[in-house]
Amino acid sequence: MSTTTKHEFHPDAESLSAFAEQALSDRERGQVLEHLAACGRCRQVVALAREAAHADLATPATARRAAIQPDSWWKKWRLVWVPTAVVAAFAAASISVYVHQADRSGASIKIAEQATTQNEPVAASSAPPKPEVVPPSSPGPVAPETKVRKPAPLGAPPAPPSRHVAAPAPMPPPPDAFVQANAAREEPMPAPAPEENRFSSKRVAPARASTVSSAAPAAPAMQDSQEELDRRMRQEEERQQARVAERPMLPASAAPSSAPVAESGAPGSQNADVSVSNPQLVARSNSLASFGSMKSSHDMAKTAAGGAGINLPSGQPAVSTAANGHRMLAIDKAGVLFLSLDAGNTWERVHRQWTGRAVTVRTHPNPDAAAPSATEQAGADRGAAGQVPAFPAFFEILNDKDQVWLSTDGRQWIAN
Amino acid sequence: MASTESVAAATSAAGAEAEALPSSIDASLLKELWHDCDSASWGLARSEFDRILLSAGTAWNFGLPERTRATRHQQAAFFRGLCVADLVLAHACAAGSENGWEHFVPKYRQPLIRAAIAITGSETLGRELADQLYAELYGLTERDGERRCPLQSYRGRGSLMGWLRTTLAQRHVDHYRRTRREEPIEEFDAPSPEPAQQTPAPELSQLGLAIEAAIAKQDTETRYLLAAYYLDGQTLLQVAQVLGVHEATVSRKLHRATKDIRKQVLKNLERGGLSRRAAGEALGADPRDMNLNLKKLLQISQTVTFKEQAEQ
Repeated sequence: MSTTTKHEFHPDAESLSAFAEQALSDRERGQVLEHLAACGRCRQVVALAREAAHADLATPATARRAAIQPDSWWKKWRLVWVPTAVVAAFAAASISVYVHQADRSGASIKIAEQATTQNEPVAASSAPPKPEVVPPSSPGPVAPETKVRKPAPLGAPPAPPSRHVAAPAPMPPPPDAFVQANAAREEPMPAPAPEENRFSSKRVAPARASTVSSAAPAAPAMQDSQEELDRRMRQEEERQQARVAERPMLPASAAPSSAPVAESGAPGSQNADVSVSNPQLVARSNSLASFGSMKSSHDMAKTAAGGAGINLPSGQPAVSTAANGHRMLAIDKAGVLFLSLDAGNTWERVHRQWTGRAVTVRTHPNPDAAAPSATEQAGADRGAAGQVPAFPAFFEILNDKDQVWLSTDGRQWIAN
Repeated sequence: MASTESVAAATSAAGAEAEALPSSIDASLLKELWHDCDSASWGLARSEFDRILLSAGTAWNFGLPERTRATRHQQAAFFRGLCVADLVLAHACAAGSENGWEHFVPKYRQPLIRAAIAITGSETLGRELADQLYAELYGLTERDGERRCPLQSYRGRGSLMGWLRTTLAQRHVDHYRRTRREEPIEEFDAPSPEPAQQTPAPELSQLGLAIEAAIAKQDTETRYLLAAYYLDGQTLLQVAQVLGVHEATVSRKLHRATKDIRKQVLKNLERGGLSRRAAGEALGADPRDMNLNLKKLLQISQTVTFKEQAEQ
């Protein structure tokens, strides 16, 4: 040591400072440490100098932090994270909900598709082949000649019960779709002639097509969702209608099937176009057609029974309505009868041909409708056309004294 | 301050020694250091710079034990370990260089005040202490008609700021110790009659001797740890910072030291004729019953080295 006090024998300030800064050699350090172990004063000096050094280091560091922190980008952006996090959480929740709903709708669509595919093979295998309507060779009210392409060999077992025939198809579309489909079909066809095809078991197919085509021109952005929605709605409706339709169709299934097609058709003409000339088959198809029309008109009547949505020319609400195809009848509150040939779009007043006050109008299936049709068909074959077109159902009016008047076209009424 | 009393003599002696050994210094190293510390900007001549360095090396004997001649390599290592820039600045200021003071004041004035405040724990006392030292540094004090500057005693082993802090701490402690003796006793109570001197039990006196012997056997670092931790009440962190080790190391060393001392005391007691059981029972004695001054014990091994150096 270079400088020490003569009186107290303490190391000088530089030795202590160098010791605290670890700047001494081991020998010098040991000397100073030995002194420090015995000298409380020098220990105190070293400790105070060390504290001062730390305070001096801490002060600029604190000032530097204080100077830096307010300008730090994190502090500036710290508050921005709160709304950002909220928005992100909301977006994540929305996406998860959307995905969940999409999964559910996808699952329901799959279920509906499975149900459809389960039904379709049955219809393909058991339903009668779609009759191809050939334009009538001879004009007139004669029922058109129907050619049936028979997929099954003639020697095949008879077709399953008619319940399978009617199950997939005959459910009526919802009122709007039904009206649209019928309105679309009304124009190209002459009024009476296509009745039996119109109300055949395949009647729903065009309605479906029209429904789909009406939904098709929707906005492109919404096309997928609308298609999905339409699909789901159709599946739902089909399921509900299948449930409803099975009950009225049960009698048809219970009805004895007439002679098999193989027997009625030309023998030995497998996979050939068969001209259905069998009166029984025609009668059966007509009865099926009339049954379908009866059911549809019954449903229409039920649908229109409330009179909601019917604007009669009298301005009064309809108290009773009935429909047979596109032909609709409605009685307003005053007992006036109105006829519509276009499913309720336009109405015309029917002159009073009954006594009392008309209260109720309804349809009844025409039990003779099949026979005349078959007769007409036979007559057509013979070249003699029938006189009056057979209506699958007729209308009847009840007055306030429970008397009944009947009409096939809604214009001409006769007392029962 | 007593530590700076022989600064001038030491400096002149070092200067004479440096002149006596001009050939032993590597001139190229001195030239390199001269350029590194930019001594010319403080108004120092090259010869003055060489003299300051040689004086510092001679005073510390280049970090070697006494009467050991340093090789050129050892000299170079010593010079490279010095804070040459601080050393040159301090001596330039001590010599009255205006450039030096213009550099010194903005660099050290405020840190000096902050250090003084931290040492005294009071802004008033701190500023007063700092101003007092600053006045001395500026050379306002004269002794024997000669202007005295404490900066002349700085040899560059540690940083100039560390030297200034230690100097402040020394002055504060000395002032405190000096003024504490002069404090008036505000409340004087009549001392109670001292109890009759009781002869300590032979077991207790034997225990005291055993403890003294055990502590005396401890090495320097352990004694420093025990004194700083148990006598001064410093924290583990403070002790660790002074020693430059982690506080966990200090804790572990302290634990080991107490365990070792206890073992040594037991051994000493057994050597004194006590059975192991009696020695264990003696260790459970109430310390208040013992006439044992640990402070004195730890300071028994007075610093012979410094005493010898002072006598020289």
